[in-house]
Amino acid sequence: MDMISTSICCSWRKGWLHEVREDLTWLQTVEALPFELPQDDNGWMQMFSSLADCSTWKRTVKRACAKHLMQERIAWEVQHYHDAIYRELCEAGIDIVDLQASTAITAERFRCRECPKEFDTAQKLALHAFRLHGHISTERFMIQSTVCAGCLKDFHTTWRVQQHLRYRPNGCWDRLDGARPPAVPEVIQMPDHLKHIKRLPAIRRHYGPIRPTSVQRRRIDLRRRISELQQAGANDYVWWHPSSEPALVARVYNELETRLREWCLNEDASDADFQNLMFGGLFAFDEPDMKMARVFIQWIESRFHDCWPESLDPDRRIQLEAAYMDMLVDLPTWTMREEMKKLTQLWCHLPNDEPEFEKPRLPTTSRPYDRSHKIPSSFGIMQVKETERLQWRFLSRAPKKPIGQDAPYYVVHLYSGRRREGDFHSWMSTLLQQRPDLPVRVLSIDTAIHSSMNIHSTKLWTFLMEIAKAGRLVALLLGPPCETWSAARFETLIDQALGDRARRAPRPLRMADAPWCIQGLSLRELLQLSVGNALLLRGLWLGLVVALNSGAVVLEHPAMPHEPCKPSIWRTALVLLLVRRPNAVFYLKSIQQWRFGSPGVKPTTFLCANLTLDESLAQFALGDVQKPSAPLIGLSSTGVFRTSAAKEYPSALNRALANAMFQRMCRHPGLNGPVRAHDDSFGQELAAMSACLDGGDILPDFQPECANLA
Amino acid sequence: MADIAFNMLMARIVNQIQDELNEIPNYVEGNKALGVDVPPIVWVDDAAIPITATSPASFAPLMKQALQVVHHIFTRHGMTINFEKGKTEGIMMFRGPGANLCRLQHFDKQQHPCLVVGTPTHILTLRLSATYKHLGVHQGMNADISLEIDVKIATAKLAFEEIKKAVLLNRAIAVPGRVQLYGSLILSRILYGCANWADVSTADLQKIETMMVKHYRRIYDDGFWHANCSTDCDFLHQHQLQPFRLLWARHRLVYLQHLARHGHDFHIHMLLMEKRMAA
Repeated sequence: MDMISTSICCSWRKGWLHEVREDLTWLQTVEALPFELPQDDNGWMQMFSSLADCSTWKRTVKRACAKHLMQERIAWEVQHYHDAIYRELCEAGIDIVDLQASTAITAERFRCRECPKEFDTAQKLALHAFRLHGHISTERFMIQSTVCAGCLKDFHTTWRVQQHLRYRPNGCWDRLDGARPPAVPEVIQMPDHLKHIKRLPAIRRHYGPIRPTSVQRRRIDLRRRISELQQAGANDYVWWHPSSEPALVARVYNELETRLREWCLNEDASDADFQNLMFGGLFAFDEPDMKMARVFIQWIESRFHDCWPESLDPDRRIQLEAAYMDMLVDLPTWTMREEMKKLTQLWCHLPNDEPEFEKPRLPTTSRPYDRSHKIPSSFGIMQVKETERLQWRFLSRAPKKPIGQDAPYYVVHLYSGRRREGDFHSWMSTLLQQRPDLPVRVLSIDTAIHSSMNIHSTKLWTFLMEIAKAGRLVALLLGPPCETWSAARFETLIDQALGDRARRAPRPLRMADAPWCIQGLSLRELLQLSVGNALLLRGLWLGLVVALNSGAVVLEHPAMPHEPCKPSIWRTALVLLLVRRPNAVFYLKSIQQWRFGSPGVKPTTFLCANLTLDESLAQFALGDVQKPSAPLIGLSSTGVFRTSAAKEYPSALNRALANAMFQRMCRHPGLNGPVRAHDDSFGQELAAMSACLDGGDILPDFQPECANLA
Repeated sequence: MADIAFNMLMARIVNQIQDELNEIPNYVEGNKALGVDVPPIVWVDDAAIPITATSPASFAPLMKQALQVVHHIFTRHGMTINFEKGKTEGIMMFRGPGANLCRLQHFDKQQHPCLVVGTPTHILTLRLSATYKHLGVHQGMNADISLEIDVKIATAKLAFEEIKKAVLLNRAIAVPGRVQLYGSLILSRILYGCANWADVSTADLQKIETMMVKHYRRIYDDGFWHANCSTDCDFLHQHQLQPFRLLWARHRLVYLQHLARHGHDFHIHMLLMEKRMAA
């Protein structure tokens, strides 16, 4: 039994309901709430009564968690693939600039200078810079032992010396920075006799002179310069004072005043005339030149301005000001005295020997800490990230790498669908028979051919990236699934089986301004989007690597819809970056597939690199076909989507694409030359699997069982 | 049958305690000042009696009076309260003006702080403790949840170490199965009672997240010991693991419905009062 007792007090805490409200706010973004978000006590009481009667609450919460997890996965995947593609571009030697970042760097985000990552705090950025880019702190280069070179104290480990140097108010960094050149940093582990002890021995200072502080170094330097200046001017009467010889000074003054009056009376006299007159007067005396120069300076400083005639013209006054200054500047005595004045000023205004450090700034947040913990979500800022990516620009053209030297080479048709007569694979194989000397294998990769041909399989993906990076993937054709991008999702679905009545249709999953995902989707739709995004971005990643390694790439996707609100891969920041001139890696080519025998009009755009399609497309377009009038929207009388008829490329289009790639291979000198044999059993295995024509049905674009993690 | 009888007896005792406490003027004043009457909370033989005083100085006398009442009622029913360490203890939470002085008076002593009360038959010594455990949840004198979190983390770590060889790191069991077992055997210990946590510090939350990720990494065999080590964020996303914050929100929202269905008026009233005071 417990006796809990309390005396009444005011609490600074926000309270449990405050945190519940945060959770409800989050829940509202994922699922519809069966009540209004409570604002006041009445609202809470109403919420409690509604919630007590809600039989689906537990399921709603569970579903919301699952949806949140899936949304976050989509956001992470999109970011992950964009980062990978960005790294690929950087590694290829392309300079990318972020226009937005270069103009406005927000204070809250810390961006890495070497990659597109950004962080909340400087510490996270530093950790990232160390782990990924190998950056280490500037203090490390000043540490070559366990003894601080600033104060000669032994800290037993280099790590503790580093911590010591980072604490600026102790003055050690001030003693070292700029005083000695950075050297190779040393890492000294704890000596054996100090290992496994909880408390290290006391810090001991070594005997020896302590290095001067930065102010002391400046003082020493000034003292040296003043001393040198004094020695340099001692023999030239620089520090001699004319008051020691008044008779000579009076005579010189009279002479100079006479000559000044003479110059003032002559209205045509120039600056040079002033100098000639003055130097003439000075050198008329039988005294050392430097001594007379010193007297002249004294005269300028004490009498010169009093000797000016009252009636002197203002313009002549300005001329006189310039003339005497020009003369003074030519005198080494004057220059040295000015230098001495400057050094004396510096000496007089030197701060204390021990530098003063600013007090640490007060924290921006004040106690008590706000202990609210919002559920972190990167899904909410996907749109912002995409807008930021729209500002990316290439500053330089991608340097082309030569094609690989190791055989065999590969032509890959990614997301090919089932094998059939007249597909790309068969046309390419036929063409390759004309050139048996070309060591090229054709691969069609799709789960419709074999379940192991899943692009998410680590083995397959590693193989494709390896041959692409080695320059052995000489041609790549890919058509990522377009079902989640389809403009037909915006149309009313007409079902012929129901007598051309409208029925519930798949809804849009993307918008032009949110191309990777929109809010309010079901769990299945989110999974569908995740798969769609991953397949497209993986395809683009592989295509980019192939293009950068001199391989031919053709990526097929439906053409951009006319309505600006509808999503399209051609409107995504990444594709826009890749095709933006003048440093574009890819170019776009649009066709209509009905010209090649497709049952629908099917406007299509190709993202191409390192080959020209025009000739081949013109050559193999069918001449005797009529443009279909009915759009492929809705369900047919058999209950299947009409678009499914146009899912596979028509044979003529396959032939045109195969021919374009084949022609390029024939022209490429690297492929015709001698090559080294290369053992790759997995490539052989894939080639054998994809050569088999007997199997496979048309599978749906979205296959949840094949969805895997990036 | 014995359990039912015991529960019936305890219900009667609790009602009597409540009635007699309501006859103590200081107790009534305290409840009045608080704005809500909080009855004794009992689960079989585990009882907690919340007492509120209007000022720190009147707190100890009120506790002594309450102790006399409780002892008297239990004795009347033929039972004796066990005042041993860990059995019956008092938690004094002083707040407001004069709280520091009272804390010094009661806790700044060489011996363990306690309240001594004389009754006609017994001299009762109630140990005052800084923390207590009621229905498996630790509460501290300063109403800080850190202690509870530390205990939960330690329990989870211990449980992990106990079953890691046989279950969690046993490669004969598929990874999804082990993750599921981790959820039911280890995570459940962390999540027990988490629904009513409030004002958790970021550091505490981070401690739990860190521990979970560490355990998951060992189960998936994906950590710093491999060359291609991923960040915690990437790791959680790759394996689609729920972060603790999400699990916590889920438990809290489910508990909210429990509260709406089964919560007493005083409970909801106190929560609203807490919210008003914080605002």
